[in-house]
Amino acid sequence: MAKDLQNFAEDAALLTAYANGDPDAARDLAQRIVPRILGYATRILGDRAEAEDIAQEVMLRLWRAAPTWRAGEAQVSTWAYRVAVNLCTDRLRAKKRRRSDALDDVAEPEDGRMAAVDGMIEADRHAALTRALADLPDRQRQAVVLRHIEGLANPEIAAILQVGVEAVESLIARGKRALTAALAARRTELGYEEA
Amino acid sequence: MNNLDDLLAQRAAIAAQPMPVPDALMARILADAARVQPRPQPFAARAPAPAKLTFWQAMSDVFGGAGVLAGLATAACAGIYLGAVQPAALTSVTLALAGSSAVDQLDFMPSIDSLLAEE
Repeated sequence: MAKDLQNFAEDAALLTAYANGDPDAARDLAQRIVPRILGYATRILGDRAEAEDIAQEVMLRLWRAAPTWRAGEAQVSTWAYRVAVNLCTDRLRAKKRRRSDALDDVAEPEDGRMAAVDGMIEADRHAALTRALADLPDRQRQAVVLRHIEGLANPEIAAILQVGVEAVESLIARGKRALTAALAARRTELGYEEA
Repeated sequence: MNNLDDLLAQRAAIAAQPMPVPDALMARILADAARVQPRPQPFAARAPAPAKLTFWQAMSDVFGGAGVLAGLATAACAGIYLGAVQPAALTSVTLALAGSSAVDQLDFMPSIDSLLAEE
């Protein structure tokens, strides 16, 4: 927790330095924020090129917000996640409108690092998880990813999604129930033992 | 469901590793940052010191211009002149206009004695 607070303070200090004209602050802050936003957008969108666009747009909005940034009102990383969530939601809705066959358009999971998962069965299981995540309603998927993959705390997720903590808990619970049901339907195919 | 939790935990472990950011993406982000970064405002160049004014320029500025200064000077000279020469001719002019010397007896500012006397 103390480390989190220190990180938040350092992010805010770098943003202030950037707003004051420090030429090195942008690089330092980008190196702290971009990998997280890029990872999140990649996991949500399943498309690396689109995720890079999202990361660039989030940072551009952050640079523009810097001169009027009020330290203490919001954490930089939370603010960046919130913008990323909104941009990803817009992209997902646009994709849903465009495509007629959703199943054919589900992207490959992760960013290539899933190759580290050993074995065909494990790979199939993660592919099934990715598919099940993609089938969740947007808010449930975002809440589950932020909580169980990004590892954020519920209050921070609540700030990102701009809902109450109880609503976050509900989104996560419903999302996990749906994921469980989706995997259970393919239990034998995925090599899980019957209960 | 333990199976789901296990899969999510594996995903979280992968996500915990920093995602490599392509150089091209970082270059675009930093180019954006440089483009919109507020520039520190340079100190305004100090205005050159005003040239030293001559006495008459200073007087002209004080009274609001050379014309006003000339008018004041003329009025002052006229006042000195009238006070020095005591123009008797003006008395005859005022008598001619008023018709008599009774003009001198008009009292536009009666003293308080007359008011007190009415009680």
